[in-house]
Amino acid sequence: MTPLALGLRLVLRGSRATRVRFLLMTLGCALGVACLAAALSIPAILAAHDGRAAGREVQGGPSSGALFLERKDPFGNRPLTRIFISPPETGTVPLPPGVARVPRPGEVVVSPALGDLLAERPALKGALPGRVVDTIGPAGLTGPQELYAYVGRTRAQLPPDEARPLGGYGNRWTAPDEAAIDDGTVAPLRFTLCCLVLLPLFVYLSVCVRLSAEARSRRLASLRLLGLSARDTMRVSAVETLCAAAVGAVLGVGLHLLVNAWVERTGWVGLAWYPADGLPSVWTLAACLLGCPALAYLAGRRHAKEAALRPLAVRRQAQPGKPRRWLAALLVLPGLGIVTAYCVLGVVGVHVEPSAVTSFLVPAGAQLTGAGIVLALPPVTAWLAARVAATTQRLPLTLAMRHHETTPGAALRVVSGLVLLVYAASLTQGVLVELDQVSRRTAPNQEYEVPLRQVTPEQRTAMVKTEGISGNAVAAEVPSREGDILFATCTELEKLATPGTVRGCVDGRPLALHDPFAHTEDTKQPGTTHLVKLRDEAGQEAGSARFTVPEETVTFAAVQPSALSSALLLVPPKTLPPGVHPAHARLVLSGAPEPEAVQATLDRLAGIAPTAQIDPVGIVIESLRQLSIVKGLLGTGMVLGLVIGVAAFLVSATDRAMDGRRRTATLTLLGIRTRTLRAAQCAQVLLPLAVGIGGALVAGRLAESSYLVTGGGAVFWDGEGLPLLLLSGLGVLAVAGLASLPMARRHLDPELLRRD
Amino acid sequence: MYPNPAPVLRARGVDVRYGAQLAVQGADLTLMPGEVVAVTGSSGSGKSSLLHCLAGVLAPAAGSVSFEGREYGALEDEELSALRRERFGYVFQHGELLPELTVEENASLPLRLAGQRKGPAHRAATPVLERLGMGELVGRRVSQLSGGQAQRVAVARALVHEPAVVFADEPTGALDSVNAAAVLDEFLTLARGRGTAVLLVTHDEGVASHADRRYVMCDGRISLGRGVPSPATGEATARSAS
Ligand SMILES: Nc1ncnc2c1ncn2[C@@H]1O[C@H](COP(=O)(O)OP(=O)(O)OP(=O)(O)O)[C@@H](O)[C@H]1O
Ligand SMILES: [Mg+2]
Repeated sequence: MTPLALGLRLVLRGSRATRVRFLLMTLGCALGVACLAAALSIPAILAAHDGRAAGREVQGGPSSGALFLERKDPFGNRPLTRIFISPPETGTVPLPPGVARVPRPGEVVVSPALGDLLAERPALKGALPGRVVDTIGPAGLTGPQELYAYVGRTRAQLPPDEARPLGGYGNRWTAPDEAAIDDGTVAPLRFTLCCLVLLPLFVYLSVCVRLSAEARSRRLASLRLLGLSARDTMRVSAVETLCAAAVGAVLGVGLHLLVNAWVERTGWVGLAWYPADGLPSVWTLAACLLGCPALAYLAGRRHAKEAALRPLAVRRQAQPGKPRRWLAALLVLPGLGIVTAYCVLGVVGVHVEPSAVTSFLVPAGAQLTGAGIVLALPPVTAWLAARVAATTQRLPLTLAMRHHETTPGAALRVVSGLVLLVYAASLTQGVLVELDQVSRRTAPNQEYEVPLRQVTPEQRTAMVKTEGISGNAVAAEVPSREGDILFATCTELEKLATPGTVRGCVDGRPLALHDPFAHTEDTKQPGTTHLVKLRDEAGQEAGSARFTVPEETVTFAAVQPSALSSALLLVPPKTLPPGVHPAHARLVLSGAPEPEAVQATLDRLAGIAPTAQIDPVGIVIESLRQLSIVKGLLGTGMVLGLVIGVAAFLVSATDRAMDGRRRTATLTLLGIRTRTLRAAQCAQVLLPLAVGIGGALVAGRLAESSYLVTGGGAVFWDGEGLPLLLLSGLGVLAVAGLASLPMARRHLDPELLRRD
Repeated sequence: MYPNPAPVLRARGVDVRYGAQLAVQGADLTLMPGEVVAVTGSSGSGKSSLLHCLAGVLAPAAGSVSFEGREYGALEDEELSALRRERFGYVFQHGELLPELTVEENASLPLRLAGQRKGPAHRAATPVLERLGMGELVGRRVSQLSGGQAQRVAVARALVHEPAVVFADEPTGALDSVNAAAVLDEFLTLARGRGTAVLLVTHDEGVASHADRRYVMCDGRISLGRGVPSPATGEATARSAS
């Protein structure tokens, strides 16, 4: 009988336990391969997104005679892009990608998502004047959820000072604000996702291919003792893992394709893509369908090495050989060395510029440390266990530590998924801190500007009263465009300015405004007169008003950045007759600065006035979207990592309990108390886990800081996330301890006592 | 010779079933304090099944087993565990030791399970191990011992807490004849010296000849003495013999 046939026979004709294990292995591999395929597809998805964004970019140029105007406004927290095109009297207009026919004046071509939105909110029609004649195909959109429109206009309808001649479409590079994720973020993002998903995944797969390690080893050792050669013994073992991995890989790719197709409809963390973008490439398929089974084959062979070379020892359940300390040391020492060195530089205050060297060294150091921690767990915990077992007075501890001491490898498989997860979470924290530093607003509030003529009085009242808006004012531009006149009361000014900075404000008359942090200009000189054109609610001109800068001055500090920075004059709103407001003015609103609050407020404001151009001062809507994608990706990575880590823990802990049934039967025969058994089980899980998580927290902290030190940011040691991390570490410990309890049950199966 | 004439262990009309198969049928058996009783029979005759039933590992399908007058069926799981922990000892064919513990830790395990501290438990195990010739090897892992040495550790573990009954299933089955005789001899001498009753299950006539009294099993039925099946008289004969 060939090893292949023998291996297959053992799988197919095996006991129920064998088949359950095979199933677990297969499902485990499927989950793993699906995650792998997803992770490998991310670059392709991003590249496809960016490629199409570049391909449809409108280029100026005299070739066609057509004019165009591009408008990009936030709709809620999504950008809405409108390209207004005015075709020439004669000649053809170049066709944008994904569009069958250029809209003529009075016609609109919209993306499917925008079409749906239009049906939902007819008010949006105002922003898209004309009849919808067609939808944009996938070739002209970055994703199925994008809001994009081509609007046909006559030449007269386009503002002459803004329209430009249309040359064609397509650019070789993607504009930074069009990219799915900006370049600077891609590298750390990929690295973190790798740490978060791939490392626990690797552990998980190695758990799956080594299920029921002891029972299988014994069976293989019997085969070897019966005269099978060492090579063939290893092959027999490898056939089982190979079959499981091969079936699992096919299932996994299928699972990825399913999720991929499902994403088009629902979107994922603000990043929706076409199924074609997420189709696995040839390389991804090769890695999944060939690489994983090949790895599993090797792992299966390696697994059987002990049984093949020392069958007698395995049958007698001797301890396995000493874990290899040098390999762990080889990884951990340089890894920690690099990471600690950067931390020391940070502490000493040496400024490290981001460079090619750091962008290689820091990830390398972090990866080496992570892998090293996991590999160092067996020798370290085995040593510790021997010490504890020799000194402890407690029986459960003795039992647990002695058991751990002889099977540190099995314990490693149980805990390493969770340990790596904690390590990666710590690193992720670093990336988030850095992103936050880039995007964090230190201002105490966030301002929004809305052109006053774009909103009706009702909308205006609704906006001022909407939830999340605390202050409001009207800023009217003076004709010389050198500054603004602010129509607000003292209370309103206080709400808009940095808290506690308003001095000398008196209600009821115009006052000069002075912000010591802004540039002072001549226009603030007392005695200067400014003319403001007025309009009534119907939009008709209603004369003008004249304001003179008085001697009396209010000092205040505007938040940065602010619509108030250029304010010259504070005028009480009551000065203007009712129903009349300045012609060129903006409604200035302010609310809480937290990104979540800003997004919610934007959504609410857009709901009130869909066609108004709402400008969150100082925020680029694109970067907000990118940030939310990045955070979403990292969050998803965390969740995936958590799922994989917990699955690895549960599967291997269950498996280990199954492997230890004989031992439990012996202890039950001797009349052990349930609580002793439970305590032993708990201690056995907790010791390596506590050591591992402790190590992971410390090393993760160092790695995070070295990342921050070399990232160019100002914060090196971020204490904000530490309590949360510590808590989650403790939480993982508590949950793992509790989860190990149900597995410790007294059971006394005579079969286990009688048979070997 | 025995201060207490009441039997320490008594089985009445015990049946053991595995699904439809009746492995033990209407077995009656008594064990007096300090007595060494052998149960012999060919392979598959139901010896191990009966022993597991008497040791409280398997529940009988019919009949009853009682220890010092207390019926197993009436005991809670916790009480039965306590009985196994404090009053019983075990020596099985493969020793059933914990391979990762040292010789000393294995031998003193019953004392530790009963709540003794490590020091006193180890001190109590040392003389027993020394009697069995294992004094030199107390610090060794069981996985590093020979079969005979491991079986000696199992004997020490069975006797260290001075149980009322030791259940031994082929205690020397894994050993060669010289070793087997030596271990068995040490085992029975120790047990007799401590007044511990021993229920010895074996298919080996030579082993059985060390016992005070013998039962024979044949196809699930038990009978007293040499080969003559007379299942119903087990109890009466046992009493007259003691
Ligand atoms: N778990 C089980 N399921 C079904 N039948 C069993 C089981 N265990 C034992 N048997 C059957 O019960 C009968 C008695 O088995 P037992 O192990 O008690 O025999 P034994 O006298 O101890 O044999 P040996 O001397 O070989 O150990 C046998 O016919 C055996 O096939
Ligand atoms: Mg038997």
